[in-house]
Amino acid sequence: MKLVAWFWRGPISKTRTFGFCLLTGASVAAASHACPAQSLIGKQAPAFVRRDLHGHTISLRSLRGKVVLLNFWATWCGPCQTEMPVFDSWQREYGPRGLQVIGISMDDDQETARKLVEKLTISYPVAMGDAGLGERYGRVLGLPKTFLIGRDGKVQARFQGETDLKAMEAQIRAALNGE
Amino acid sequence: MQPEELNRLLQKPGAQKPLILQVGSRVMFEQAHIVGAEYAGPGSHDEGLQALRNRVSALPRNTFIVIYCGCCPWTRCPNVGPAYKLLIEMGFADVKVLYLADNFGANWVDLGYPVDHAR
Repeated sequence: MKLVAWFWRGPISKTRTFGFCLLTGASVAAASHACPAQSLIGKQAPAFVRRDLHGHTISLRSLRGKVVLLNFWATWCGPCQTEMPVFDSWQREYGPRGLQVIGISMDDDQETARKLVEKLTISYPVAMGDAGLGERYGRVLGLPKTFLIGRDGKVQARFQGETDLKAMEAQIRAALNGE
Repeated sequence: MQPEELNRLLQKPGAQKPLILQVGSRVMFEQAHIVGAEYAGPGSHDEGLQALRNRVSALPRNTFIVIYCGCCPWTRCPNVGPAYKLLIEMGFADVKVLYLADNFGANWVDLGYPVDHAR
């Protein structure tokens, strides 16, 4: 994009994270790092029940015992569209070993999301997200954003932005192996 | 426009405040947005551009406007480019795009800059 060079002025300071965490009521322990979503790691993943795009119920709690890859995405997110077919191949490969991929579209419009899911022939369940669900996952204010949830229901990892998919796959394998 | 620069401007007493328009996703706007910002609609959609056009059409062309999205890394954002282009084509002479290198969460919220919620 031509605008890049035009508006670029240099690196951004990250010195105010601590203040933000205090202002938002996050714990002091969490304040030492980029807080809300990061603080989910090691904790129970926030439960939710949604209808997927086919009308089937998705309940995170009912997936206890499986490794869950929870991916927040949107149709206007380029990196998301790169990842989704890969996640679908992982669902097919690792599903029999206990992996369940779930997509949460943060689009404003369900029909737009449905069209892309069909175009990419995504087979794993996809539901629509909203601001409330995003807030419970530490605010989803940039995409893609993906959480790896262990068989015990605890968040093991969070991936933000364009991710090294090989590294993510390695973490999924480790989770499936109980490591 | 850098986030730090905009934040400084918003905090400065008596400074001329821009009209701040979010031109991305409503779901993200509802979770958090810059204090005082308005939702205009995604710049990558015709409906979003129409909503933006409707919002600004009656304004003087020297109105100071800042648009932002922050849905995706800057180079992958589909929204700010078309929105900026529209405003320029409409004759607005003082338009800036907020530079969010990674996303709105990382480059505004996590830096401790003030946010509001629509919900």
